[in-house]
Amino acid sequence: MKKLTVLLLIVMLISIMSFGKTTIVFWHHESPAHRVAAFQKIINMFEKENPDIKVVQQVVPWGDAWTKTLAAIEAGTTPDFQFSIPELTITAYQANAIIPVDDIIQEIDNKYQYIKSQLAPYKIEGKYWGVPIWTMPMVLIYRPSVLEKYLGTKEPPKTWNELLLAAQKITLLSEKEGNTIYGIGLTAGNNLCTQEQVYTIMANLGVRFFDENGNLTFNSPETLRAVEFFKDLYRFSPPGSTGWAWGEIEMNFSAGKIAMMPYFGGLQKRFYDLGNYDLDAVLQPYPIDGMKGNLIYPNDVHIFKSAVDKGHLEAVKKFLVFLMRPDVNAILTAQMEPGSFVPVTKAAQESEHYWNDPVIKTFKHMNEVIIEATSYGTLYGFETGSAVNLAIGSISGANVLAEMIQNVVTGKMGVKEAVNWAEEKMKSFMK
Amino acid sequence: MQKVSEYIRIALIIVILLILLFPFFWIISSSFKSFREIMTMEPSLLPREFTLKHYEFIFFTRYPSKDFPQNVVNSLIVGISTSLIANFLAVVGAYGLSRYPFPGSETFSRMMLIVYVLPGIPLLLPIYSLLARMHLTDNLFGLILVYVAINTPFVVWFLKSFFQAIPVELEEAAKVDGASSFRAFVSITLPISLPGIITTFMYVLVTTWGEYSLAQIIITSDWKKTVPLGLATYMTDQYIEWGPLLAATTLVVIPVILLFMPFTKQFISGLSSGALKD
Amino acid sequence: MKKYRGIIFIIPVIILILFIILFPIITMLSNSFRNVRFGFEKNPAFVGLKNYSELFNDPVFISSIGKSFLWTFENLLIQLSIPLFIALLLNKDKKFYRFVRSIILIPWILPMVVVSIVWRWLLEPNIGYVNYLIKSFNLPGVNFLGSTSLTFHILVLINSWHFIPFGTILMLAALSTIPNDLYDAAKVDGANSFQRLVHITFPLIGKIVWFVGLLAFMWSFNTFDLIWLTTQGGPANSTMTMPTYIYKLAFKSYEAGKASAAALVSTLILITVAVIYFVIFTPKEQRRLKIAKSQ
Repeated sequence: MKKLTVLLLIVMLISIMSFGKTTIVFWHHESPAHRVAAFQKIINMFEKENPDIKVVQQVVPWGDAWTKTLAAIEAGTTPDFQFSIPELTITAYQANAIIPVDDIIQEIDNKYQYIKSQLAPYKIEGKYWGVPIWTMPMVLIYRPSVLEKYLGTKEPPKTWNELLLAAQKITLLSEKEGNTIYGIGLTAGNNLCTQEQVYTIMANLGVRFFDENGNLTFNSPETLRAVEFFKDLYRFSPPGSTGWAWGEIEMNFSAGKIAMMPYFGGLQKRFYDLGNYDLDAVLQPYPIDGMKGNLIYPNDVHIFKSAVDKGHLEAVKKFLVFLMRPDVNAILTAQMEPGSFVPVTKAAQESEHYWNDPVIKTFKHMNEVIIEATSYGTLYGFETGSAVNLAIGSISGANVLAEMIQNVVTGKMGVKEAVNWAEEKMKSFMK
Repeated sequence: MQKVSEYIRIALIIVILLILLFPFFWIISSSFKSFREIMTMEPSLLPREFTLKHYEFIFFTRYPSKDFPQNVVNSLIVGISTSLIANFLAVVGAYGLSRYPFPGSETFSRMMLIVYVLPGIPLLLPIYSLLARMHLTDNLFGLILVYVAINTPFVVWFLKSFFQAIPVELEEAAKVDGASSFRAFVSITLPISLPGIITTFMYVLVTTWGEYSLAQIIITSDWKKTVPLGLATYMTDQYIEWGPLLAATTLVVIPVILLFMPFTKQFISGLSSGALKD
Repeated sequence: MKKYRGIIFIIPVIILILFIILFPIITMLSNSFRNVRFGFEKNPAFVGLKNYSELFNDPVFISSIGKSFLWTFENLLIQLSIPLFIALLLNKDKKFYRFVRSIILIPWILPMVVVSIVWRWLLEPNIGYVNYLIKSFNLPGVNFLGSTSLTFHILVLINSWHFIPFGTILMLAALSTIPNDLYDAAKVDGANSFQRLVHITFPLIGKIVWFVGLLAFMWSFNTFDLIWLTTQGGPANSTMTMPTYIYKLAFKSYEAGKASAAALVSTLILITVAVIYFVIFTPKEQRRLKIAKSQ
């Protein structure tokens, strides 16, 4: 009898102790070593301030994020929360696996003031389903030395015409010298990278995938004109880019084979590591009758229902608000991938923690441009300010834009035919 | 004349090796190139800026989610267990099928192959949810179980034809000498079919060693990741860590080749003794 | 009862198959007749043959069947001839040959995830080593992985490169089943090495070659990683084989029902090939022995 009591006491003690310490698990998709290290640094800081909470990061590379999320939802093995982009959050929402986060957004907004445009993609049926953490705007990055050599000025192009002319001039002049530098870097691979670049050009004409009611408005004169321009520009892009993804375009740019390209600012870390400072950026050039605009990929966190079931919600909330504290957010952005990952709150964008980062400081002008680009950025399917048609998840996932571009640049289809094809393909996902 | 044809033969083999092994040579050579050389310089056969940094990195910069030595250990555990279990089950099964044929056993053994030809992709989700029901997700044993299930039917089918090709008379002779039928099988047929068993052992080991799709869906915890999963963390979309990736790949080959060396030798001895000489 | 004694030995394997393979297959079959998008819906609606009719109205699917056959055919051609050739070269028991047999396995050991990215790098037109070599001979660079006509065949070569080592080992195992005294006898009869090859080697390993052929067919037909990790079926669907198409449906555009239907079609094709194979090539197990005995 006595033994039993002791045993019971021990069991109770253990359960109280483990009850007192909550362990929360999250997935992210940033597998490079320095990004993992940044996450760990933040976790350590948080655990120090909150000794009752233990945080575990698990890395699921981007390529597997969708399959793993679907599988975990199906089997009920989801983590507490997950880093995400709008399409993935929509998928999780459609699977009925996540909870609305309006209260967390409200709290962060009160404390640090969200850039409002960054909330748009997560608003579905009047509620928010993702907490924006950082964002990724595209800008036109370029090598000032190449511009100076072939254009006689370090001043980058500002309009579409100037861009096309500059790309042509650099390509042809350098070709004559026997060491071709391609004026522009555009990919036409069957992947997201291509979609991001072509959408940046579409954004200059205000292309909208859907209207406010979620009706498809893709096949428009603006889209045709943007694709036509991509095709024109593509002539001065390196051969072989129909087979490219990010890896190839980055190596080509780093090796000095490309003068300019619409891209994320993240290459600055590699240039910094290489001790090369021949890199700058400008807002994506636009046609005279067009507008400033570029793709922006907001990144968020969505919270799985399993977090509520396990009683982890409060701990998760605490951690997310912690992530947005400007000094912490600077680690998540400036340290993790400077120039690619950009703060989404006013407080963090203006914080000295961000601007004092050595890489950010070195490429100060470039990063000012990048911050400016966050206010002009849009994302395909979310142009109207909220998620109006959830088919965008499939449209983006199936690489409809990329396939359309491949059909154009390989000569398989004319521009008009390809845009028609894309519109039909998109329709098939809306059934 | 004999000598000349030997030289031609060796020359041909060397040419073939050069072609087949060039990509691996490129991997080794580039794993010693500096980050700057890989990213910015004209490609060259040998490193211009020689460095051991990438090797240092994969051995000593170990994060919970980037622990290459741990990946290798996991893969060895999974690969060798899978291979042992699958081959054991298959030897027993193939023995039954070849020595005690029953009505329909021929059709049955062919059905085995059909299991093997199923396209894996649409099965990913159902397999995962099945494992989840058995609480075997994110578990190396769960992974081994699936690998065994996928590979064994093929091994049965493969070994059965090997066993069948060996005259039963040999075993009969042993039985006359007083051995039990299973004993006769183990002491006579098994050694003769060693080349076959080694082939299937190697086959299962290597396919599980390099398998990605199933492993990525079943394993989540970073310290349980196998080699392909570990390597994949070096090559995310927007950031390929070439140096560590190539260094790790170079090292990945070594344990497998070391494992194979003694086996290939045995395989050779199986050959030289003339496996099916009466 | 004694008649069925053999079954006892195979029971563990049967249980394993029933457990791990059968359940997923039933799910797949059932999904192919239902309105399933993500694969996790509970009790999705039965839609009859809708998935199938949509599938066969998709020109990309139809072309993917043809692509898969062409892919398999080209792979088979290479994967049967070259390994046999290398195996004949290596079929000698000397130190050098033994060493080669070990290291030749390396391409096969390299994980596909790495193989694909390294080849992408080597073959890149502007920074890749292969084109660097080509250009150093003043020849124009080649767009290996971004061409609608060439890329398909380049991927066949890469896939074959990966398989050749194992194919060689299989062929060596096949060669090892030929009794040496057959060659000795032929030598005594004055047959030269070419005659020995045609009259002894080929007929005797014929069955195993066909067997390897069947395996190579199955492997090639189901190739997925390499294509997905290099071109994702592009450019412009020129490398979109059935497995790639199925993956894209299941995990990229979330049409799990349609993907299951496509998977079923692909399975039926493979089963048909296997059945044809068995009808043509059975049962010749004893043939080799008879020949051996008649010598």
